[in-house]
Amino acid sequence: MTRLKKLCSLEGVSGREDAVREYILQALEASPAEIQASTDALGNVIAQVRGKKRAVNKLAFVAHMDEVGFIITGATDDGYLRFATVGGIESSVIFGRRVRINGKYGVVGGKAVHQIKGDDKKKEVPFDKLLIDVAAENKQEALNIAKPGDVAVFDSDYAELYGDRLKARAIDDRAGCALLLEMAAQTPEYDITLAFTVQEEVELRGAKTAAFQINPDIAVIVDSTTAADTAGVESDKQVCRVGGGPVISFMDKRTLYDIKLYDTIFETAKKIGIKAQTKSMVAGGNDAGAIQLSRKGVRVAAVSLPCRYLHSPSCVILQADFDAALKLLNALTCEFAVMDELA
Amino acid sequence: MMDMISSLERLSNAVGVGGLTQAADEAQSMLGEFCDEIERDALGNVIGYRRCGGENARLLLLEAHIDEVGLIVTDIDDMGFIHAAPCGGVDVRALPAAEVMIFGDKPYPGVICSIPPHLKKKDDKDILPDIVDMGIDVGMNAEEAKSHIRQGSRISFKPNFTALDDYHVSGKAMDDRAGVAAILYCLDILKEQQTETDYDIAVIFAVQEELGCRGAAVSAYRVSPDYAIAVDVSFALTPDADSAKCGRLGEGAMIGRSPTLDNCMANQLVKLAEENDIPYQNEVMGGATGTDAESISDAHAGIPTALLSVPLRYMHTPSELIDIRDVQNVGRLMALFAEKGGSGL
Repeated sequence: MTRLKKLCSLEGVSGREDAVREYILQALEASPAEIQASTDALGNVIAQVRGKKRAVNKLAFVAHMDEVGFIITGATDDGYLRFATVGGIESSVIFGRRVRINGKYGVVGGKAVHQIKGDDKKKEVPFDKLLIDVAAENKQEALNIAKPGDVAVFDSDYAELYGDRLKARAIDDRAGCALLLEMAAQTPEYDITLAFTVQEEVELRGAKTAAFQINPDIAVIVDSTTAADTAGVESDKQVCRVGGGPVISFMDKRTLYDIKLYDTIFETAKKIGIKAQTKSMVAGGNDAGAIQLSRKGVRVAAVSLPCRYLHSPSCVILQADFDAALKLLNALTCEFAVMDELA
Repeated sequence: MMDMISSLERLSNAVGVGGLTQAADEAQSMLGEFCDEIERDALGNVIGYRRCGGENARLLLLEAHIDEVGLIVTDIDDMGFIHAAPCGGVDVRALPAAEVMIFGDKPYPGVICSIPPHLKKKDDKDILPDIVDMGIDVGMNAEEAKSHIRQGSRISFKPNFTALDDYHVSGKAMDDRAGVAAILYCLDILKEQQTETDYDIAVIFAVQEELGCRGAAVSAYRVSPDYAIAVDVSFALTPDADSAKCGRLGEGAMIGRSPTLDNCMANQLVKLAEENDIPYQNEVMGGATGTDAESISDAHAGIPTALLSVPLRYMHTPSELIDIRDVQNVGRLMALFAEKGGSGL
């Protein structure tokens, strides 16, 4: 898991994926497989990986490099940085957190709970009341630390929890990037194309241009998805479970998935003896939404890792789900590359 | 001289949630080089003495609390999530997705559950659940959790000390390791300068302040000083707070003024600060200060007590923020008081 650890330590808020891209290009370069990698105008990395055999269908696997975070919009006269969120972050996970910005640290907080009365003590602090404290004396000092347009991330490191659970900030979707790099670490059975996309968290924008260039027959989106199997959540609201294996989507807020691919994935999982699950709610969305509508249309499937506390500083996944997803993706290469009846 | 940043790192990363002794052990070992005697009382208070050698010397108590806010395990549910009650007044707004350490048969890292957006109802959108309902994820199923963690196990925020720059540091438990550090800094000044003091000095690092200033009451009774200075943290201004009710970060030691505090001592501290160019700010409170100062001042037949505070932002969150110059100024002021304070009283 050193690869995932490294990937999660890099900062790559949407539009600023440079460090992640650089690492991915190096990792692809180091692979013994025959790989042609390029970067497009938006910053997507597209890698053609030559397999042992030629694929009948042009098959793409897609993971996004970017992560949610904060973008600085200005500073107050008394030296606090104003910010907007990049991607969907709940205000409830921001208060009291430390952030990293341009190699420095800041704190997001407010007045002491002691100075708040009654039920307001339990009230989430809305975004418009949140500022980043960089311990600056005044506006200029704050702007010396970060200018409008600079970005920040939660200060949260990679850690292993009990029972092979992994906790980090940017698991969504560095876990997907790590899976794709693992697939390319040896020569795959068939030719595949890997796309490491930018700007997923801001309207799936990188995937749109990546899909246009790749023009695939089939695209498998490898992402991280909300597992709500947490304290006090009834089973019908849990969406999916950590430990239940990779999550195969039939529908989410952006995409109605290809039913044949969906069925084939479950059959394949059964055949290779791994657990797989689906989402029990129509929620979320990923790059499939953009890719399915590329050019004249693309068949899409999603294989996601169940992840608790998504878009928080403390995303949690299970090693076993990661390992099962890798097995499944490699098996799907063989299935999808030669699948017929793709009218 | 004592390196303030590394000392605060060592102190604040140690855990002192009510009942855990790691922070007290750490503070006691740092206190060792300044004291002639050190003891630990029945509740776990650390008590040290620095004798001045004078006969019938009066005794000055310097006190800071060693405990910190945290949680205590009340239940483990069928899915293995840990449920916990506050052990001190943690800021519930800072809990969702916070990282914690659970002190079971060994320390286990955990994450406090946050509610995913799709499960938020319109009407409860901005009200957080009760702490005990939030649940903490340690990655265990119920059986595993019950074998490693028990009801009563303590939970702290994950140790996370960080320096923002040369002067500002952030982390858990700056409340009140900043006070502990200020006292150690004072003792270090007295040692380095080989200052002769009028007083014997007693130091108390008190337990259970966050649960109602309990440790200070029994330890002050035991020590029975002639004068006392309690050192705690207090509110530093943030943009959303009432500026009349806050001190300012980086603007010096906060000298407490309140009906419960000794006014002569406060006057003396102000005089010393002004004479020696030590930055200070007044902190005026209309009643009880809510600190150990009250439980010290009403021990025995009463003990004149002053309160010095280090201004701090984001109290009772994992990211408490202080300026180390304020800690040093509190330490300097106490050292001056120990040296010259007697004459003014």
